Amino acid sequence: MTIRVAITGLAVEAPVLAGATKIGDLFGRAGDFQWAFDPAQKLGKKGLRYKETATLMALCAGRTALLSSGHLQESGDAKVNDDQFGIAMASNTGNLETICNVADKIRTEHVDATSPMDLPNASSNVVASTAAIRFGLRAMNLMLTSGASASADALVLAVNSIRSGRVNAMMVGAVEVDSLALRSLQSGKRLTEEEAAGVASIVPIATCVILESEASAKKRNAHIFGYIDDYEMQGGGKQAQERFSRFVLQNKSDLVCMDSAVVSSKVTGFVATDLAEHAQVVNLETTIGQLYGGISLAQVVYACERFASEQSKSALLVSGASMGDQRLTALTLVKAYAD
Amino acid sequence: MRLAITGSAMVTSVGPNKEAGFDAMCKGISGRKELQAFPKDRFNAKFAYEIADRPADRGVGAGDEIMRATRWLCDAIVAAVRESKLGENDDLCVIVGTGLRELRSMELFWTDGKDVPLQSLHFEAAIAAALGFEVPVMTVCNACSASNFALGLADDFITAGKYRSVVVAGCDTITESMFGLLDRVNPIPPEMVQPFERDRKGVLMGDGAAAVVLENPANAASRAVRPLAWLRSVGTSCDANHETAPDVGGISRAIVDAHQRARIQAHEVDVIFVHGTGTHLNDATEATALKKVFGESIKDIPISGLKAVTGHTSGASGLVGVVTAIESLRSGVIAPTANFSSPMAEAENMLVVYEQALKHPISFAQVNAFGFGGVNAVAILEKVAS
Repeated sequence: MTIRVAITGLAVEAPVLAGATKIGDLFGRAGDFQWAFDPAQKLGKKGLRYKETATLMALCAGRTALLSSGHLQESGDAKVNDDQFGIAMASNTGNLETICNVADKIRTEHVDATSPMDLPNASSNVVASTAAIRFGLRAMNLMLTSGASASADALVLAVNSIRSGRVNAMMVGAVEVDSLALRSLQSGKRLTEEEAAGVASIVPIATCVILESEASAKKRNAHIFGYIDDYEMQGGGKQAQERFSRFVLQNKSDLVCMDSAVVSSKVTGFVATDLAEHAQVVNLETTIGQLYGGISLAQVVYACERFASEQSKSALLVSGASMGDQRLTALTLVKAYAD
Repeated sequence: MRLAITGSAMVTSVGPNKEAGFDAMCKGISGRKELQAFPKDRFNAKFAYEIADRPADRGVGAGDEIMRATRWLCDAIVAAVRESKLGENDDLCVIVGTGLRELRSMELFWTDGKDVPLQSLHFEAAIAAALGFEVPVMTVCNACSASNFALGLADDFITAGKYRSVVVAGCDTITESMFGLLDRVNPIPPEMVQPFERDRKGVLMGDGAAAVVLENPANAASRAVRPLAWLRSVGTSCDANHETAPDVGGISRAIVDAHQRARIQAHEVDVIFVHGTGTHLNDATEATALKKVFGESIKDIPISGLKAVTGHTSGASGLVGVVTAIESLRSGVIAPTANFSSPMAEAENMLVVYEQALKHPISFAQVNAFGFGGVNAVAILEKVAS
């Protein structure tokens, strides 16, 4: 029997909006966004030096999610320390600035002018591995940098890891950060700070969920926000195309998160107005801003928020084709199974 | 379930394909060269294991080329898919393991003004163009064990019945930032990579890419395609201990997990392709973990350290080991560990193959891969009975 994958913890770390703890809090607030981030409030002051901003945001979100799932207690141990607990983290942008700064330093001076403390940050998996160290997550450890599909891939691979029995639980996180390096890439040329100020970029937030087998969640008497039921990735072959189309077209969820225009162009027979008859259709990137590799996980968190407030019972989440990428991934969530 | 490997390919500094690469490995021919494109006066280390594919006439001041990792990755994937006889109508996905993505191109965008689109930092569009059809590409950025992790993730997809075939690949080219920061922390710049050697000085990076096609055995049989080898398992773990230093406990757990998933005993392993980066701490830790898991039987199992020939190909290195292991399973020949003369203390009584290739019957091969952040992935491969 297929192992059911329960969502038992949720977190949003949004330094752009004070007090925001939910994806829903960010709706229509782009005009209020400003940067105010104090990781020591959640993490304490120890061990924060030399860490990337992305890493610190992910650690904050990870801690909140573990508190939410009951794996950590406010007053208890700061670590889970579990050989069956893994992590899949998505971030395309986390260490771009470090890479550029180190390369500059070598070009303009010498390798001896670089800081050895940058060495861990030169490896793009630093976010996932630092979270594993911080929380004692000793099983599967994955860093996804697949572009706009990064957190969708993290979710899919985490679901597989639980269903295959590799792990009992997975932290799935996503974090994207704004930087001069990113804005330069988006603009096609290296920019000055002044030039970059006018470039529309991503919304720097971190999100996190805790996934675990239903059996594990029930054994702990954990609250289950919902379940990841299934997924499909869009491929080019005939079989893959048909399977993905069927997955999207036949779904009857009452919440749909997607960019309908993009899906219309990629799924034959898809008509956005048909959906509106039975579902609430939400495009997170229209209502919040560009989330890049974090979009799929933000959709999952938002769906769980809707489940918790009794506004939805099932969700179809489609993402992936943005920031130059083309592939779509679809996930389905349910608040509860019929049995 | 054991899974079929129906195609394999690799591109390294010692050969543009698996045949040339394996031949060079068996002869102990190294891909080590003086730095080819980095400004030498900015580094203490003067050597690396680069693929010599830059045009000789690119001119003074032309700088380095972009998208080299992507090019080798695509070459390896196309070769492996061609060997497997899969095509556009087959339902498949691709998992790429990489340590450094296209961050070398990012550096050249930043320092040299090269044109590098954001989406080319990962590999989906390039692979679709190379294959001639769209396919989902997941980029797993898991440091130096990335491609062995990718192999395990592919196993999960097929075992779950989501895909019948998965292309698993790995690639990396040397970045100035990683090469430089490793150079920065080396007290004495190493001149070569010497896995498990008493007088080893440290790690030097190498260029490389590799790919295998992993397939449900029934699917391969239905296509009348004979596997090159079986994948029995990939064991995984995370040390959750230190950002850069390895850990005996974490590495041991990955090895034990691999054996348990493969349903074999440690003593049944016939050859171990060690991670063997030639750094003091990494090699000592790996050898200690091997002794812990294998016990007395480690004395009789041949050990080969390929990075002496290829350099440390980072995220590609696991799969370079897997492709090499497949060649060893098929030929019964184990490549020697180049630049080796006497073992480090932790490897006393280990059977390190050196000086010349070893003819040895092999049923099961183990390939170790460990990365920054304590991410460990160990593959077990099995010979296809004749």
